[in-house]
Amino acid sequence: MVTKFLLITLAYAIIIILEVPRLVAQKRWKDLGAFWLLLAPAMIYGYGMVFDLKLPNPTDFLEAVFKPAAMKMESFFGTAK
Amino acid sequence: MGKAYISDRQFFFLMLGFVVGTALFLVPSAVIEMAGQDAWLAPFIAMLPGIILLSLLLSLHKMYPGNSIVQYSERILGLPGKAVGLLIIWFAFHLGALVLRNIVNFIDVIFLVDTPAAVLYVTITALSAFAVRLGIEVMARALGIALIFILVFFTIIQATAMLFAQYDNLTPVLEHGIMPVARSVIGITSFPAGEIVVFGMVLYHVKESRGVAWYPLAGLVAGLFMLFLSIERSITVLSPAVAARAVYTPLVTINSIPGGQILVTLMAIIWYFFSIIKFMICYYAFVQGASHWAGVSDFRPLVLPAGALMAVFSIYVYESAIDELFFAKSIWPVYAIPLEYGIPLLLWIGALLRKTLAPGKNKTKS
Repeated sequence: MVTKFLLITLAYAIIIILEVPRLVAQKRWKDLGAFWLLLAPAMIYGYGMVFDLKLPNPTDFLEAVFKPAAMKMESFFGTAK
Repeated sequence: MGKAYISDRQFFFLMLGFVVGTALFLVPSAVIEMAGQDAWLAPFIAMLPGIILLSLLLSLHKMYPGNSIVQYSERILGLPGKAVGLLIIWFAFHLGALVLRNIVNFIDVIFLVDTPAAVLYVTITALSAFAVRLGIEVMARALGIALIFILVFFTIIQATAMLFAQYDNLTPVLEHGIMPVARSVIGITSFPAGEIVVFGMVLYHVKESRGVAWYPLAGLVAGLFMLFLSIERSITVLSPAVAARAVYTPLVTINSIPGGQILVTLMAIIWYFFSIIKFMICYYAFVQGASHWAGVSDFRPLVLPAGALMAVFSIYVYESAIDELFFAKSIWPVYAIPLEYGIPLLLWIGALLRKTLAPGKNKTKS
């Protein structure tokens, strides 16, 4: 777990070092906002996997919403298993 | 930011690569499982919804030249258009993550068995991030060169496999009626034909010319025809019963013909090439969509965080292979078809209404 933690921190550190200083120097705050909006969920889920946290999974949500319709479709075509 | 242009012929290559994409290996076993020996009919019938969707996208492109789907959805629908744009971005992101997962799974299961999957995720995403950062022009040009070799490889494999084809496997036609074939058409309609909605984020790069509608349509039809060849090869060389049970049917097909092991490398190159095109286009659409949605002038700073997000999500998205199969087979059509076909249709109707109700308004705005 320690190596995983270090490696993933290294990866995020590289991404931040490559992009953030330039954006700050050029004062592109909107770009910086979008950058963090994308990186923040990646960091949350990345560290969530390292520490085995239970985070909400969009697939579960999609399955719950679309399963009734999917079952209807399969029985209509006679391919339900 | 300088505007990137691609020619319509390059767009043809992108479209062909995207449509074949991961479908090259994943579609044959899925449709043969549903429709048995009649599965080869499905790509031809699925051309119709694909062509309709592409026509909608092209028509929208003509009404709002130089705008991506995220931009014109805002111009057509106003504030709700922002939400529609978000749905498109989500779709490109989700699709890209699933494609990345498929690529890694294939390499992990067949070739680099001992390599940790995380290494593959990182290397493939880093490679694609490099390509996406260079922009669509460079990607299109490089793919155009590589595609020539890939088509030669594909022809070699097809020709060799056809030496061992048993055409009896194609009969009896429509043994179980039309319903199983209809179900497999639904499958191909959602994956890969409908996924071309992602090209709403690429189409605005195409330089205006007279043949603009012809090349994309040819790309779609050629892609589906290559899928037909792949399905037909699996049915005739293996039998439908064997083909339906394999996970990577085309690989099993190649392995089962005498001397076919030599061709496995070619097959792997073909698969990797097509799937990486698909991943890069989804990646590009996601990054470009996010930057247009947020109103950011340059998409390049967003490439790396977007890639990290996609890689993490593609690891996290399923808990098991059973989950993945169920989602891909049953949930994906009902979830994806409304997004893939509904959004362009909604935007197209909205654009037409706007044009007829307020004819002068659009012109002053653009």
